[in-house]
Amino acid sequence: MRRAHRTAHLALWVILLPVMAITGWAALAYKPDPAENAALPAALIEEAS
Amino acid sequence: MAVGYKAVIWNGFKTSYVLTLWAAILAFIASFIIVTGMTQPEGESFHPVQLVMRAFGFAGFSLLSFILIIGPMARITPRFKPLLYNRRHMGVSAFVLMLIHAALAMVWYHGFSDISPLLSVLTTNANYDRIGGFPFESLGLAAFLILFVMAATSHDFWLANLGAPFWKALHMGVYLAFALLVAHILLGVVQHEKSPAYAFWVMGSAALVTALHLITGWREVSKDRRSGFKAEDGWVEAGPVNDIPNDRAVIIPGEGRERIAVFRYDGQVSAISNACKHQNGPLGEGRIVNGCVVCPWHGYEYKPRDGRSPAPFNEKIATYKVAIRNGIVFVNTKALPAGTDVEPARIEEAQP
Amino acid sequence: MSRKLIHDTDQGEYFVGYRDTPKVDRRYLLGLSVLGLGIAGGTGAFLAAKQGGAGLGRWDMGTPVSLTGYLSEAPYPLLRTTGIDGTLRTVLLACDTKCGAQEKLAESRISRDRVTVRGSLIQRGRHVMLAVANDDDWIMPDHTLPARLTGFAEEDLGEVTINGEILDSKCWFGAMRPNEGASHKACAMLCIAGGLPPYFYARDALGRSRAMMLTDPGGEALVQPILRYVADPVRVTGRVHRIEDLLQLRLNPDNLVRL
Repeated sequence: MRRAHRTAHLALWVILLPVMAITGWAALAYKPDPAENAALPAALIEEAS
Repeated sequence: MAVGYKAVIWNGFKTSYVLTLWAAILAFIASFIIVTGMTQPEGESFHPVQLVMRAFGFAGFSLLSFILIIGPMARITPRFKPLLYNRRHMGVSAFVLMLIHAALAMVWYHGFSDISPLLSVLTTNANYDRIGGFPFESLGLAAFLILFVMAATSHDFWLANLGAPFWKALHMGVYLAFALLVAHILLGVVQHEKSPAYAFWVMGSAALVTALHLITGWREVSKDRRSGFKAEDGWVEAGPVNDIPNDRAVIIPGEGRERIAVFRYDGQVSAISNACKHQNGPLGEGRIVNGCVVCPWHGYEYKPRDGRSPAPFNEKIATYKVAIRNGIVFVNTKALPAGTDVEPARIEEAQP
Repeated sequence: MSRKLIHDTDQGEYFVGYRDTPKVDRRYLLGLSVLGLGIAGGTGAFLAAKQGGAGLGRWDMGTPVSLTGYLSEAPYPLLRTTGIDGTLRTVLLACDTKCGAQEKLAESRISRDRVTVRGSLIQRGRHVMLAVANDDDWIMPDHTLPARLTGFAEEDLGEVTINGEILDSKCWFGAMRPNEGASHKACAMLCIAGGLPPYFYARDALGRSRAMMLTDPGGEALVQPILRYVADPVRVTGRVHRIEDLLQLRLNPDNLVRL
């Protein structure tokens, strides 16, 4: 393998590592909360069907 | 090995390799489908199209991760070299898995409406400025296009006509595609599913692939730094001749971005370029078999004296002048034109 | 200079793909194959087992059904029928792909009030939709049914502020499973833009849930202003109306907040 090649490989991974790590962090930090309610409003519960 | 372009030469090894690969893919998909059926809550079940879509997507990314650890693993242990050989069968198989996943997603989620599916993927969900609800499909599409170009040019015909350096550069796009797929999965299924299992799976795969590449890459950089002490007139020291096992080589840095493989064989020493003509494979990690240097990647052969492949093949690589003084090998790092015959340096009788 | 420079230190046979595989590699590859099959099957099973529920609901595509009842075109095409379980029930009407039945209704020039429609049922609990047959006589006037002289029972249940998700009714009723969240977002947007009734799905910590048709404050169709909120967690404030068994959440889109 040429040195140029190895350097390019290494450089690419050095760039991709933080990119993937930040995406992973962002995906988990901004994971949408399930839009749950403590309790459904009374108007809806009485309509239990 | 390249007299014309043969389709694919099948032998016993290649047949068992491909059969094992497909058996593993089948095991993944079958167990995914069966276990999904067994573990869904009472009364709930996947639509068959969506179940198959998921199975193929998960299988495709898992296989791609495995493909990407073969390269660095083969530099750590020679036992991985058989997996490297024929690796492109795995690559094309991973592409086919992702093709099925992508085609089902296109038809199922983006078809059946007035808008063209491709336009729908890119424009229906335009939340490009937010992480939650990001149109993760377009990341998958970008990765798919890169992998499509790679799968289409995976044959040796393209390797020969595009030239090895360009082909290799093109195929480095797989790393970019891998990162895009990691983001596609993170912003898709990882955000959608409650279980942290999917984050562990995708981040674990990404961490393993990245770590192995960084470790092996860094090992080589530091090796180059330790070796190759400058001498006069372009001559460098390559170390004691006794440190080179018979029929093997040491690799030293050459001029510019080249590296040189210094081989010991038949009581003599020759130096040739470390880059195989075929895919830039590391010749210095190969061996001499029947008088020829054999590339560890795909078995291309070169005579160590003149860097030429034995007839009827016509590949040739650069050679270098060598000398031995007091048991120390010296190499002139100025590359001679590919195929130049160089008298090997004799190892004196005093040197055992 | 040390032996570290030599990359390949094994003294065994040397693997070349087009030659016979050395014994050491053959043994190793056999082990690796068994391990690989195990890892592949194990990973597939692991990823499958960790999935959430795909959702209830069914689309019985292969079973044609005819329903007779009173047709209503606004805000979305629907049929009020006793043909499901003997009580008066609301059945939403959809085309067989990602569109409501509006266009198909516009094409037919029949008397609209009492009809028999044909198609296949999409059902999730008490929520029912009919994907109408893709031919010209999917709808026929039916005057065996008595004309309806009084209106349908309508009641204002008051204002609610509630968290939940905007979904498209067809997929959520059972056309797709799973049918919520990120992977479904673009598809649900296409469906709602195509004229399928948007639904608001809310649940609470006690495991109760409610799905309601989403309309504007006047009870008319609501499409463009809500599209970009589809499948995201949102908080809404609106008035709940009940028309026979159909719940409507009448919403001013200005009162829509992404969570």
